[in-house]
Amino acid sequence: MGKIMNYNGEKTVIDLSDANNISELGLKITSQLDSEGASNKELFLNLGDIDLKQSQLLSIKALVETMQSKLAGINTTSEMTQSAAIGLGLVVGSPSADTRPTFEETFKTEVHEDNDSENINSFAQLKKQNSIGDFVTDANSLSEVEETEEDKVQTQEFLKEAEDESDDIVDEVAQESELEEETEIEEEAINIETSDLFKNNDGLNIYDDIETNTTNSSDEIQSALDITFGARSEIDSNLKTQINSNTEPIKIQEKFEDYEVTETIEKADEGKYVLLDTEGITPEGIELMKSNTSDLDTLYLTQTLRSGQTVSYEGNIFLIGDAHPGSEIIATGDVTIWGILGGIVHAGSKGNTDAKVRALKLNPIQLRIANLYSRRNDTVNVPFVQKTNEFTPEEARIENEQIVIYKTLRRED
Amino acid sequence: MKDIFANLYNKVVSFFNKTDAEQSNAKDVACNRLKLVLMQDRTNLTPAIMDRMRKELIELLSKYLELDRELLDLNFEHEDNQMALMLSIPVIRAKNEDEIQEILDKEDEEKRKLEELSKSDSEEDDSEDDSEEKDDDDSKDEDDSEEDEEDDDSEEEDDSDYNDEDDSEEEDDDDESDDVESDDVEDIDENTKKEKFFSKKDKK
Amino acid sequence: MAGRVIVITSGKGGVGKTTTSANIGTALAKLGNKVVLIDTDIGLRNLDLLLGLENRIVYTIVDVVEERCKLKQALVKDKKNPNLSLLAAAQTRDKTSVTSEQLKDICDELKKKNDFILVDCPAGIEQGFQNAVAGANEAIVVTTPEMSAVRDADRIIGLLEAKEEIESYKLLLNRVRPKLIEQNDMMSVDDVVEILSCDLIGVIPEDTGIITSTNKGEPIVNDEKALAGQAYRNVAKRIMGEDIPLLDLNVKESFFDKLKNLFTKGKV
Repeated sequence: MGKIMNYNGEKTVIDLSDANNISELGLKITSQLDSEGASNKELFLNLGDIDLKQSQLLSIKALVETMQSKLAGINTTSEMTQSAAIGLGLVVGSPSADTRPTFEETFKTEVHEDNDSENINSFAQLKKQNSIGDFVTDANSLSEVEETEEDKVQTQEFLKEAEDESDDIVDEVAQESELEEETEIEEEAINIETSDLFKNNDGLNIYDDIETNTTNSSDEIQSALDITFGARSEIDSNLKTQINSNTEPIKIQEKFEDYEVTETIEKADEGKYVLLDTEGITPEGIELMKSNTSDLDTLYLTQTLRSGQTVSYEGNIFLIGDAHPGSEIIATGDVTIWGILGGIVHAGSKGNTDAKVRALKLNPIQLRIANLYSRRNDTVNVPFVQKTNEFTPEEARIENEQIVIYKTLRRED
Repeated sequence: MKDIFANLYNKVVSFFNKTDAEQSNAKDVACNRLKLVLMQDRTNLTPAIMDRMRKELIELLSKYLELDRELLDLNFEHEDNQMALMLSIPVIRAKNEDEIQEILDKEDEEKRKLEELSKSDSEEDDSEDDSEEKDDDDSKDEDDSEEDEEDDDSEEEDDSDYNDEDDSEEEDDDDESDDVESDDVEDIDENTKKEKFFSKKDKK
Repeated sequence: MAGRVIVITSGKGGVGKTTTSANIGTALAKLGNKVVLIDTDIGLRNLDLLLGLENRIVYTIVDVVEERCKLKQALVKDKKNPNLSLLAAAQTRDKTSVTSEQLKDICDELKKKNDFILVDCPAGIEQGFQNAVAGANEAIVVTTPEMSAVRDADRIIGLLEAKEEIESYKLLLNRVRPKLIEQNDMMSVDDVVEILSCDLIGVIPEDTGIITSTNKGEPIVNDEKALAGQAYRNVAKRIMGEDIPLLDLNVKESFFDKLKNLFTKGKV
């Protein structure tokens, strides 16, 4: 089992030598980092003898960064992993005072990008993957993916074990995985520089995996998805993968700009949403926690919620239809609405700060996540949203004790 | 001759007043309907009973006073948990003693007649009574047009107009009220007569 | 301090109870009183919309009654006037969620710290009405110069008279259209007062500004120019005991109108 050992104050070594594959690695890192006080650390990972490719290592690095920590270096006995780490500019071997400047340098180049990568929301990522088009993988990996079905089952078993071991788990978005299952993976860009990949941290590292083409590809895709979505995603058995290595590389940076933070809800009276003065309003005795909403049951509804109707559920709520003003949706997990959200919504009502609210159009009178209650600003006078053919899906979640809303920018084609 | 002149005058005046009357309709109609409905709401009396009460009251009072029947206003009002019956009828003039005496005498006679009739078990005298009444009314109306000065409560012109216009109706009314009175004696015919009364009202 | 609890009721729907509540409440608060508005129209709440507070409601009267929050937590402060607060009705429940006793308790509790508690009553004479009236000592019966509204108001007055707790009730005539009255197309103020034989506390003219003010979520009393706003301010002052004559609702006549009136008057 991995353990966190404090090293040089802010530096931490995580022992992962007993992990057998990258999925397990990812889970262990997440569970360790998710525990209290584990953020904002420089991490050294003790990886044991596991063989990791550069892309996999990169995924781990990205994962660590999404947990508000930094990967400083690794300790490994595997040569392959070592070379991969060197390729990424990571310190290899046991951390020492001498090596520190090296990874500080590493940080320098990446710090400004960190903000970006933190800002990526899973919805946006998902959308992006779709918008990029279908992934294309090598023709010979198609068969491999099929072969690795068994691996996948194994992986899932591992995942389950790992979950049992730790209470704190990465969040997952059920709908995302659903959508992923439908996604035909197609690669348009293969020769993407690793730095680009890292900058964007948007799941494109899958390509690299496929390029290198090992028997582990399903595992890798799995873990890559895990890491990019911060979720335990599943790849469906009828996933069709094709490779077309002749296509031109995509300019990922541009794609990334299709997504933006539309709103950070603060107490200040600006923007579309404002935090309610929660003093004396939020119920007492709500225990804040972060827990994986994917473990919860999901209530699936297909109807229009009208004024006066309430849906309250211990778990996630998925609604296909509009939620009119005056309606109430309260879930202990995520709330996802395939329609216009106009009523009051409360995700993570029992205090889960990892809960998210998504809708094709977020226009609630009040938007509540866990203990944060926000209301529509008085200056916003759009009680009803016009139904149009085009919507830009939005997602609200808590970041740094603020509610942040992300939406896709409309592309100008 | 008098009748002819009176009719002509009425027609001319009503022609000029027509527009005004129509204009005031919406409001007055609303008020009147409302009062009627409220009375009913407050007392649980049906319109038929209310109307009968109205008629009987008029009949009673018209023995002593000359009244503007059309402007009669019967209303129940709440006051501190008590209900008051508010009856307001514009009095055209007070009848003089002779007239009153005449009517009372007539009534006594009728009563006597009725008693006799009931004794003899003959019930066919209604029509006779009616015709007699009609004659009386006509004479009264003549009086109206000649002398309408004294105790007028409301605007003079309108009142006289109404009175004269509604001559025929008044006769009808009287008939009815007579009917009603006789109903007291003959309960058998009551229902049919009520119906008759309603239909007349509708026509109005 | 023992505040006055005034129920605003009408029997008929759509005559302007909620508008009246919002406006009188705001006007009273502007005059320096501490005011609490209670919306008892559970399941069909609207007072929050008229005050523009719909986005601030977290707890409702039902939450208070069912002890999910304290009374103080459920009071939503007005945007502009800290003297005014709203106890909203629950939208997702119905009238039976609250009993008369519970509402009376709430009123009694609020009485201690406020000058006025205005209870916005739902239409009808069922449970909702009984609840709203339960805690009140005074009543304002809102009606319009229309037959149906007057008739319903009469019924309500009858019911109010039967309630021992109601010490006084006044009539508020809403949506009066001076022009129509002038043309004898509408019952006049006097007509209605006479028919209902009830003291008048105010006459509010029909004002298109009400519609826009509702849309904006801002009571029309905040509009210094609007005639209806002035009328509501006067009502508030009368509630406080000031002797203020009824507003002259007649819109200024043009010379032509005067001429026309002269002729028509001469004719009659």
